[in-house]
Amino acid sequence: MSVPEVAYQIPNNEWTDQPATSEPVQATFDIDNKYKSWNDGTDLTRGSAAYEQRAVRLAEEITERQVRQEIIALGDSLFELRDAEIERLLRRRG
Amino acid sequence: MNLAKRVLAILISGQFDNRSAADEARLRDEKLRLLTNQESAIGANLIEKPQQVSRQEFFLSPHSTHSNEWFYHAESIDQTQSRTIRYVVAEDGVFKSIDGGQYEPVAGDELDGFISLTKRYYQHVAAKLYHVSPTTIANN
Repeated sequence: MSVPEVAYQIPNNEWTDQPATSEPVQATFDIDNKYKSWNDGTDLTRGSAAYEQRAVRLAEEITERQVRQEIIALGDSLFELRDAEIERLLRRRG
Repeated sequence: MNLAKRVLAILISGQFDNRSAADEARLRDEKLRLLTNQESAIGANLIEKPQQVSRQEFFLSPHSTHSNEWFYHAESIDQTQSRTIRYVVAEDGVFKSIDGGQYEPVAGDELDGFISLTKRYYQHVAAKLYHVSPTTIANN
C-alpha cells in the first residue's frame, strides 16, 4: 500500500525486550514502504529481530488505519458537497 | 375573527405546512438520487469494464449516515446476472459483502485498488460534478 511519508511513535511500554528510555521509539515510513530510521538516526537493523518485526507491523497498522480514516473523511466531505449542491438546486428552483 | 374561523385557519395553515415539508423532502430525495446517479456514472468510468459486463456502477452510499459505505454493481451482457458488492470502511479494516452475503475483510491488491478508486472517485466527482478542487487529496 502506497502512503505518504509519515512518522509514528511506539510507546516504550509496548516492548518487553528493550529497556525503557525517556524517549519513545520513532521510525519513519516512506512512500515505498521503506522503514528509514529510528529517531536517533540509526537504521532499522539495530535492535532484535522481534523488536523490528513488531515495530514494522505496528507501523503498518498505524498507516493502514490512517488510510482508512482518510477514506472515511473523503466520504464525509462528499456528503457535504452533495448537501451544498442540493441546497443550491432547491434555492434555484424556489 | 371568530373561533371557528381561527380553528379553520390553523388547520388549513397546518395542512399547507405539512404538504410543503413533504414536498421539500421529496425534492431533496429526488436531487440526491440525481446526484448519486451522476456520481455513479463518473465512478463507473474509473473502472475498466470486464468483457462480460454490460453496465457497472461505483458510488458512495446515498444514505446520509453511511459515509463509510461504497457500492459496486455490475450487470452481465445477457442481463441474466448481476452482482452488488458493498464495501464498508471501518476503524479496524475494510470489509465487503457480496450480494448481501457475510462480510469478509478486503486485503491485498483488492484493498489497494479499492483505496485508489475511492480517492480517484473523490477527485473526479469533486471537480466534475461539484466544481471544487480537491487539492488536499494525494494522488494514489
